[in-house]
Amino acid sequence: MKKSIKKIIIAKIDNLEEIISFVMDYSEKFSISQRIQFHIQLAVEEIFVNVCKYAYQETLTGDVEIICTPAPSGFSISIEDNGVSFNPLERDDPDTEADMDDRDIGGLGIFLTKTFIKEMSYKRIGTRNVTTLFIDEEE
Amino acid sequence: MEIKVDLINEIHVMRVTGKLDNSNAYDCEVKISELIDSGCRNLIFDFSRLEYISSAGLRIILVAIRMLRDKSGKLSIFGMSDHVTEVFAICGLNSKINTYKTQDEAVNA
Repeated sequence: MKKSIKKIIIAKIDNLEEIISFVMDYSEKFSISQRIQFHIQLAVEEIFVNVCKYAYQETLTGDVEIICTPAPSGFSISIEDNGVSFNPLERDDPDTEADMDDRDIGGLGIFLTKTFIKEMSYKRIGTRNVTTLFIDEEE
Repeated sequence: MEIKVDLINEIHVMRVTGKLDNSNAYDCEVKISELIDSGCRNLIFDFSRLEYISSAGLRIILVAIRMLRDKSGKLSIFGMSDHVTEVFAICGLNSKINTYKTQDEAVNA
């Protein structure tokens, strides 16, 4: 029986590796290819970095809570913080056809996350940002 | 992540091993800046031992391209894994960057 697990850690880039290890150890309990493991790793990194940069604006100190929960078809990963309201799904997609000279260097992380993770949600609950990634097991 | 730079026929080959992510991309960017400041105009990235890349890694490649363009230099990459290729492709970058399978192809291009 797979259980829900959670970790609370200070939102700073130095803690990225610890967050990734926590999530990847959990995802290994499920039937997921190496390719999808990469997608999960990238998505969790990009959301976590956004929390550090935008929700806590790089100067505020706060916690991030990561919750992995089993679901009927796989599992979900929720990333929660107490920073300012920041909805990653509202960011405009970058123009990936643009010439290198005109290209905006930002915004690729969330774009990659939305491309790799077919189902994700964002909710503002009270003072918290809650972003959830839903991962399906493969046949 | 580890970075090693070899000089082959006046071409700098930057070999990046491990994971290139938000925790270490800045170190790589500093190394690239130093190379370009010291006169490097043809920079080739060896990604054959790069296991993982996130947007932070893409960002420094884009920055490097702009730095080199301003000095009429060029940048190319060889040995990208399937994961790294997929990340570049989704962002529309593999059609705009010279990529090769092997070091020989990249050096002789």
